[in-house]
Amino acid sequence: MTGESSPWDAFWQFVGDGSIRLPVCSACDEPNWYPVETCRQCAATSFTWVPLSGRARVYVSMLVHRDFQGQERPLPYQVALVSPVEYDTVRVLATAPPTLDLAVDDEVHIVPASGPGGEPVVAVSVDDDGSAS
Amino acid sequence: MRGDRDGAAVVGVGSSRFGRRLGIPVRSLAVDASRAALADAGLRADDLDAIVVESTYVQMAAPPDSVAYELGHRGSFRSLASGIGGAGVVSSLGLAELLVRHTDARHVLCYFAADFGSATGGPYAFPVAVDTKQRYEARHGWFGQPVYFAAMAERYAATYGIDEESMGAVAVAARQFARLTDDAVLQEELTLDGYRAEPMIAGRFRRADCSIIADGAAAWVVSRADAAVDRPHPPVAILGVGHASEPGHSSDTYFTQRPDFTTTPCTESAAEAFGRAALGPSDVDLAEIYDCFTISTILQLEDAGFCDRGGAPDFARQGALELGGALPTNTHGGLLSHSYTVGGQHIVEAVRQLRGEAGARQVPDAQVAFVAGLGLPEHASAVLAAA
Repeated sequence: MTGESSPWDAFWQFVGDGSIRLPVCSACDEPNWYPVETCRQCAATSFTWVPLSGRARVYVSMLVHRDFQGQERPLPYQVALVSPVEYDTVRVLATAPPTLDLAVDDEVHIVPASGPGGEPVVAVSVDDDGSAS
Repeated sequence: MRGDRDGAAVVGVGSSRFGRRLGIPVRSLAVDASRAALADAGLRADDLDAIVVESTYVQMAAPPDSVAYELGHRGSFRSLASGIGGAGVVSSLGLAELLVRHTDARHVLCYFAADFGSATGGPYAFPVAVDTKQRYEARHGWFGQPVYFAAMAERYAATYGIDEESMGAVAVAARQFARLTDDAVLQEELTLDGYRAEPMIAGRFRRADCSIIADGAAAWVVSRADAAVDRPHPPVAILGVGHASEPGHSSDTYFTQRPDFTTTPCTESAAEAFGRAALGPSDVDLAEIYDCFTISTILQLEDAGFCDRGGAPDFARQGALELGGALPTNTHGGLLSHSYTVGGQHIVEAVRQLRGEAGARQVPDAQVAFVAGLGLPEHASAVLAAA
């Protein structure tokens, strides 16, 4: 598992380099999310990592008041599932500040960011005034 | 033949002790419940031709060969697993029915046992080993069953609307029944005001919206119809069982890509169970529905056809789930207030109700019970009837 190569490696490499990209099958154009070795639609094994604009729509977002992982994450935290405008059947996880008021179908912008432990994550972008940008 | 009583019946049920932290090994809990179920059925371990258990946890935590040995079985028997979580628990009825209809098997033991209250990490220990959980989901805080089901509640609220009185009504009804059930873990009174005062957990979930985590076991014995007579208790007929799974969208992804957060595969499994039983929701006197969270009960009430889409919150708020209501539900207190046997005690309770043994919580003239078990990506439903 961890330490072995994974279809996730490319995703995090791109996030680390500042862009959020999704793997789209080079043969049939099907987005494959979560990333896999073999296209779920046509079984091809070559993917194009297509950059997203970052524009997305909230599928669901909520505050979480308990840390079920036991990792001493600051509470409450907010977690969102958002659909990129380019691929509206796909849902991408994103962190957000707990003070940000997010509702189903809100339009947001997602960006590469750092998680509570410094690891790369996807986050909802926040304007200087604290609203979703 | 549809809806016949010549196939299979539950002839015995039993339970272990229940408690937050019993400190009893899972296998011992399984043996205790199984021994009680065999005694209830008037059978000995050697009478068992098969054992059917849930696939993802119990098959390893309390293996049938080990439990059979502890029970004193010294012959051979079929050992089968029946599916995931609550779905596997309820679908054991269907697998047992298949065995007694289509093999020489006469008596089949099924059980569920867990020590999630005592074990390190409890039910949250499972996804730690999942690759996508480690590499993607956990770092965003997408971790823990309350998070997944709270997300379903948020989508449900945005789609149909649900208020705290409706969610509270599910929790309050469960607690009322638990207070009428001697071995229920939670016995403290819960009012709607008390519900509102409970600490927040995730999304709109308060603590009382979430199942308790506890130790315990439940067991049930299924027999071929001709071997179900002349037992100590009247047989409870298995009229129909349905079992359905979603493709992909739940195990590796932990539900993030499910096409619709406001339904479960109960839609398919209940239709199959009712179809086999040649009955419908209006024929049901009581329901035992997998209530890992209050929203789970709401979704399955609609999936199974007891309410229209969006109708379950009103149904619950009007008291339908309580004793004397239109559909007394989780009449022992369910996962919310009784114990955490992942639907096992739901089956035990349905049988006791249909045998008329439920005492102060007895649903009058209970003839038909609906039992629903959720274990995403799977769901199983069963229709049971009094002799």
